[in-house]
Amino acid sequence: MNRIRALAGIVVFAAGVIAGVFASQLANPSPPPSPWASLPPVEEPAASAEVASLIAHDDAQGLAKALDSQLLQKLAQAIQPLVSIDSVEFTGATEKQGDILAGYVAGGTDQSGNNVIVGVVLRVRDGKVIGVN
Amino acid sequence: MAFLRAIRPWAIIFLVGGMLSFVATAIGGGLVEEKGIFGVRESATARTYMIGLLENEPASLISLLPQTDVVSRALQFAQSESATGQIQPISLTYIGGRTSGSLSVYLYAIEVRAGDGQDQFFPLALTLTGGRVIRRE
Repeated sequence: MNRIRALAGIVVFAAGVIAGVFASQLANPSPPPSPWASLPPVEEPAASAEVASLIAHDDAQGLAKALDSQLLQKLAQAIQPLVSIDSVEFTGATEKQGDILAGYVAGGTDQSGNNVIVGVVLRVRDGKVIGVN
Repeated sequence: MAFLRAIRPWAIIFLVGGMLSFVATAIGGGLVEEKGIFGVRESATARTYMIGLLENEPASLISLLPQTDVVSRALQFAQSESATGQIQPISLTYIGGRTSGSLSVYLYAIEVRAGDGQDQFFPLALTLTGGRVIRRE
């Protein structure tokens, strides 16, 4: 009798665990379906990976060589309000007619010392970074 | 009454199991997203915002923005009305994101056909906190 009670307890507990997982899914709903197509993901381009690495390693000289002044200005705008960058992580990339948009998230601190993350997207064409958003 | 007394211990076991897994899923999921182990799952709020933006639905956009004054909201409606029919979305691609503390960043690649028939392919980054879009660029 005790064995049956113990077994029943385990079954009821497991049912509760499953219900909890479902409740958690309900609390975080899936995104609504997109009415438009989605482009396939592509590998991280080497050119944008190099720029991301230069930013992450605080290599101002290297960045000045890798990007022209116009792109550097756009990059400066894109990383605002970060004043100190600790990390730059690649999130994903997609491609359309030779243009690759490579996404990165830079993390660091702002002027007040708050931890902040910002999204930066680099546009790569023919193996070169040609745009920053 | 006797029935309620009989099922009480089972109900407690069920609730304890449910609460444990709810909390474990929430904490575990949050940690996995913050560390970016499997990337960051696209947020329903971010997708709703993007669909609203591309379908030119000012009401859904305004509900997702931090509370603004009546003039700013009126401007958003006016800009939206003047833009109606000028762009035709072709594709919307989520290219990942990251979460850090209360901030989440979601990145998108958008392809649209402009009124002059030219296709444009450009990115958009959304920053969310507390379920609201606080930055779009």
